[in-house]
Formats: sequence, structure tokens, C-alpha cells
Amino acid sequence: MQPFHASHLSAALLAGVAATLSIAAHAAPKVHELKASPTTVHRGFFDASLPPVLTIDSGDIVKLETATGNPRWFENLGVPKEKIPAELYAVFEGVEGAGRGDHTLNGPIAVRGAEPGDALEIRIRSVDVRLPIAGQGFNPNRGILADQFPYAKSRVLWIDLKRKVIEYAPGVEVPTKPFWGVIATAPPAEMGRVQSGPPNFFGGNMDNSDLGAGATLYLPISVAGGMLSIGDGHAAQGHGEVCVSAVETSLKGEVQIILRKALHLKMPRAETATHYMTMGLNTDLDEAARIATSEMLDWLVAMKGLSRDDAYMLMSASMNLIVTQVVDGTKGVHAMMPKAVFRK
Amino acid sequence: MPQNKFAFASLILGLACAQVGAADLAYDHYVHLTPENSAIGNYPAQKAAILTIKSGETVKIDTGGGAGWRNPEMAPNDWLRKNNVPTTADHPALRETIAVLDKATRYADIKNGHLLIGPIDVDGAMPGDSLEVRILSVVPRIPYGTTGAGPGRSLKNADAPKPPTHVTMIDLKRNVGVFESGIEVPLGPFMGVMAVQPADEEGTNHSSSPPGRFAGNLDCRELVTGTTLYMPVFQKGARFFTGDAHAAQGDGEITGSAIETANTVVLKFILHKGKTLKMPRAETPTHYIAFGLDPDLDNAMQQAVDETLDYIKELENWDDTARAYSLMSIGVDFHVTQIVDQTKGIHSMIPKKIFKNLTNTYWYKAAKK
Repeated sequence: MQPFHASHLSAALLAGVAATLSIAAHAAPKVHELKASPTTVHRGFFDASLPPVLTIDSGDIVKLETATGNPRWFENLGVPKEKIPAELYAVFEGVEGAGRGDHTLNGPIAVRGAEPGDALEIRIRSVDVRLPIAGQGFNPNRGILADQFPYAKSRVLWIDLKRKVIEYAPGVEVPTKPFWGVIATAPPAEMGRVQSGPPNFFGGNMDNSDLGAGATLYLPISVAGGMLSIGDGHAAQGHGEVCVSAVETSLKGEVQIILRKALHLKMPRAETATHYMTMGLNTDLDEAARIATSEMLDWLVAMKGLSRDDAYMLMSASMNLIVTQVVDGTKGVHAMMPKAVFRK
Repeated sequence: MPQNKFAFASLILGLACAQVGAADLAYDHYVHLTPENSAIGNYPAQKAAILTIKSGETVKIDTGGGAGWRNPEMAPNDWLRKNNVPTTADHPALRETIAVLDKATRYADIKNGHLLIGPIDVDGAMPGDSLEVRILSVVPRIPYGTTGAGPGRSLKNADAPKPPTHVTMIDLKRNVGVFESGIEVPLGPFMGVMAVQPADEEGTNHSSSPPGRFAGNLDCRELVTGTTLYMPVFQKGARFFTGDAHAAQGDGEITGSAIETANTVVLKFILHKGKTLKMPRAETPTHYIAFGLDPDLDNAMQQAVDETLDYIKELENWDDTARAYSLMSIGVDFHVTQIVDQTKGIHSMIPKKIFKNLTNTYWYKAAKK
């Protein structure tokens, strides 16, 4: 059994309030820029041995521009070159193949002083769509209805940046709700190079549409520096992500990164303005639901001083289990516990 | 009727539901909680209809619950006192519940389980039709509810040595359940069980625990006042049952129970001749809902996706399955309904607002907050 000091988290969360205050009281946090470019991205994998493209201090803010959408992929669908942003050509310079390039990830970002056993708190201060062009598709043997769709299909989607909707079909509009599908710390060195498809304890391809602007994500750290990677911009996605892709597009936004010493998280956790969130990740959806529930139980007991019995029943009365995604090999269920339930 | 007048009427209706409850809603029939009107833990095919209604009629139904003293066995008043519930076993709803537990006929040797009311027949309903049930009002009729944690349910007992029962006080005025001092759960009363009589091949005394094509114990927290459930009809008269009153529940219902209480409901029944459904569906003022039900959550998810695909194609008159599939990936949310009723559930929430050409003529408009 892995030791887990959940009580540290609530203490650290309190400390977080103090840290924020002290940041505000002393100096404005340093702001870095990290734009997607051939030298600032890695594609489709995580690897502890990747050198950092940026090194920051705890509390610093990183302004990100991520890039999704290989120009060759758009060209193959008949999009005229002049309608494809030039910067996508720059980012995808030298990339072989014409895949969509969803997992073009900015990073890794090293945080000074981060050690295994610590956690990164990632505050998503803003996240927005920045280019109007997006892609979606499904492939044979992927997606939850692979039996009914034994073929591939791709389509370009155009985002109305002003009205914040995706024009899907005549009379069908999906409102944008941007978020990054992939946010990860580096996996432990002994795991070597890890494909970015399935999410894992270090985060990764969580495809969690509740991790948008205003959300705070806590990720366990496995290697010195933490080594954060972010990308896989989604303009909109349903919980489940059933056909295997969201509205895959390029995003911009600001994240503040705070080092939390010795949290010893087992799994990613998150908060929104209104909810505490835990995640269950497993190839079996039943097991994923169980892990998410068990994680929330531990958190509530540590944070709110509830007995395990009471926490278990309170969750049954008020916590929602949501299917995060069923298409990334390792499936996800996340638990959403409303903060409004707690009056003290 | 002018739009604003309509909205005003809905607002009044909304307030009425929140504050005075179902009492002053008009209805055509009133079904009381009596042993004769009850069935326990199963849908007995051999039980004669307690009421036959016409399509379009409304029925007010008192349901039972709150009998936390049965586990462990205690005298009702002792249990109420011990849990600081400021009422006695003379409360009409508790008196009726006790009478049902004492006297209701048990079928197929099933002694315990959901307290159900029914069956109610709908005149003219035949297999292949579908039954629309509009939930006009759901209001708790006792000032508390209980939540248990049966062993062997989702968390395999966590660290609980014996199933405890937690009493939550219901504050209808403030619309919250007081879990304990400082912890309040917003109320969202709904009926865990709404069912038609299952098809013959599912047996004459189908347990009310697992949900199925006949709906039943869906335990779907969305089915509150102002929503609609659609069920396929498998038997002449449809034979509707309801029970398992909940004051609030989270998606997942992880311990196996919600805030279990006794509700009064007012339902409107509409028969759709020749409109065949494979599975239950539901509708809220803002969403369409499709269900997937299976002992395995992955299979439940698969079925919910299939059902959602069909629902969207039907709504939009699409024959392009691929288009509906991709739309689901970006515009539809899938929730875990419950993981504790043996047959587990996933439901999809299909937002109405993404379909710009659909005129939403839904019967219920949510009151503005």
C-alpha cells in the first residue's frame, strides 16, 4: 500500500491561501511566455529525460499559446492554404505525416525546487480559443461505437470567435467551452517514453471538460522539476468524448504554477469555483468510478473532518459521478462534490 | 396566450411547488398510501389495477418511506426520538407507511424492498405504445430522510463495519437537507422508481431493484418536478408503478441510497399509440436524456451512446449517423446515473440549445431564480 498523507493536502491548501496573500503582498508574480514553436513542443509522448524549455519559480505565471492542427491535415481536407494560419505552418515545420497533431504539447516547464512527492498546483487563470480553425474525426477501432463506424472520417470545423459557437451543421451550434485535454507532469524516469494517449496518475490526456478557466489542478510530481507539459486544445467537448475527438484547436491562456511540497498525491485532483473534483482512471469504467469515489472519500475526510461513514453517505446524497471520457484506452470518471454543501 | 403571461403563470406554478407543495395542484385522481394500493420490492403481474385512468389525466399519489427504524429493528417512536426527529409515528405519512409494512400483501415471497404504489392502468395502452409521464410536482411529505450504506455496494463497505443510517432533516422552506450542522444539501426530490409492468419474458414478479427497459429503479436525479419520463409499454394498460421517494441524490448514488423519504407526487399520463420505444427516455426544460442500463458500466455506456445516437437522429431527422456520432462527442455529456442497483446506469444529457431550429414547446418552464 502506498502511504498517503491526505491531511497534508488540506493543510497545504490552507497554506496556499497564505502563499497567495503573501504573493499579493510582496511582488507581482513573474510572467513568462511560452508559445508553441518547433523548439518548445514535443508530440505524442511524455519523457522524464526531456530537457525543460522553460524554468520558473513557484508562483510564476506562464502565458501559453498552444497549437493544434497540422496544416497538411487541413490541406488534405481541401482547405485552401490561405485560410490556414501561417503560424501553424511554422509550428508544424518538419513534421512528417499529415496527422492532425492534437498532442502537440508545450513544455516541459521545470519548477525550481520541485521534487518527487511534491505536487504542482496549476491554476488555470484563463483559457480561450485563438484561431478559428479546428478539426474533428474518428478512426476505425477507436471510439465507443467502433463496431458501427469501421472507417475513418475527418472534418474541419469553423469556430465563430465572436459569438463563441461552433457552427456544426445547419441549425446546430455548439457553444465553446475551451480547455486543454492534456496537462501532465513527467512520468517517473523508469517508465521511459510514455505515449500521451492514455491518462495516468501524472495527469496527461485527461480530456476533462471541467478543467476550463477558473479550475485548479493538482498533479503529483515524479521527477525533479515536475516537468509540466500542456496542450491538446479543445474548443468544446462533451463528457464522454464518445467518438474519440473533441473540437481540436489552438488555445491561448494563462496558468499560475505553485509548488506544493510533500503532498504525496496518488492521483490528480482539482477544484473549480463550485466543486471539489477527484478522478478515477482505469481501462474498466466500473473501476474508474470506484477510484474516483474512493479518492473523494479520502479527501473529504482529511479536509472536512467527516467520519468515513458520514462522508460516504454525504457523497451518495450530493456528489456527481461523471463519465470524463471512454476513448483514451484508460477511461475516466470524475467525481464532482459541490462546495456549497459545506457551510463552514 | 402572450409569452410574458405564460412565463408569469409558470413562475407562480414554480413558487407553488417550492412552497406549498403539491397540495393545490389540480388533479383528476388521488391515490392514497394504503396496504391495498401498495406492492413491495417487485412488480406483481398478478395484482389487479388499483385505478384505471384515461390518457391526459392527472393523478396525485402519496408514497411511503422514512422507516429507518427497521434497520436495526426499533420501535418507531424510539428511533425518531433517538435521531432527534421532531415528529412521531402518528404523522399521517408514517402511520400509513407502518400500515403498509404491516399489512401489504407480499408476492412471490418477497418480504422487503421498495415501497411501491400501483399498478395504475392507462385505458387503451397496448404493447408497442409508449407512456409519457409528466412530473408536475414532487414534494417530501415527512420532515426527514435516511441514507444508509449497505455492505457490498460500490465501495465494498469502505471501512464501515456495519451499515449505519444517517438522518438528514428536510427544510422545505429553504429547500435544503440539513446533513449535519454546517453541511446542507440542496433538495431535488424525485421518485427513484417509475415503472411500467415488465414484459412477460422478464417474469411475473420482477424485482424492483434493477432498472430495465421498463424504466423502474432508474434512480436518475434529473427526474424532478418539471421533467418528463417516456417508457415503452409491454402490457395491456401499461400498469404503472412508482415508489422509492428521494429528497436528493448525487449522480452515482454510491452508497446505494439517496436521502430516502416519502414524497407526494402529481403525475400526468399521456399515451402515445403506436410510438414504440426500445428504452426509456426523458426530457427536462433544457435537455433530452437517453439511458444505458447494464450490470457492466462499460456496456451501459455503450448502450447510452447508441440510444443518444438514435435520439439525435430522430430529433434532427438526420440519416447521417456519423454526424450525430461526432456531435455527441463534443456537445453531449454522459453521467453515471447509479452504480448500486445491480443493473448500473449511464444517462446522457443532450442540451436542447444546440439545436437552433427546434422550437422548444416543452410544457414546463423553469421558474426564474
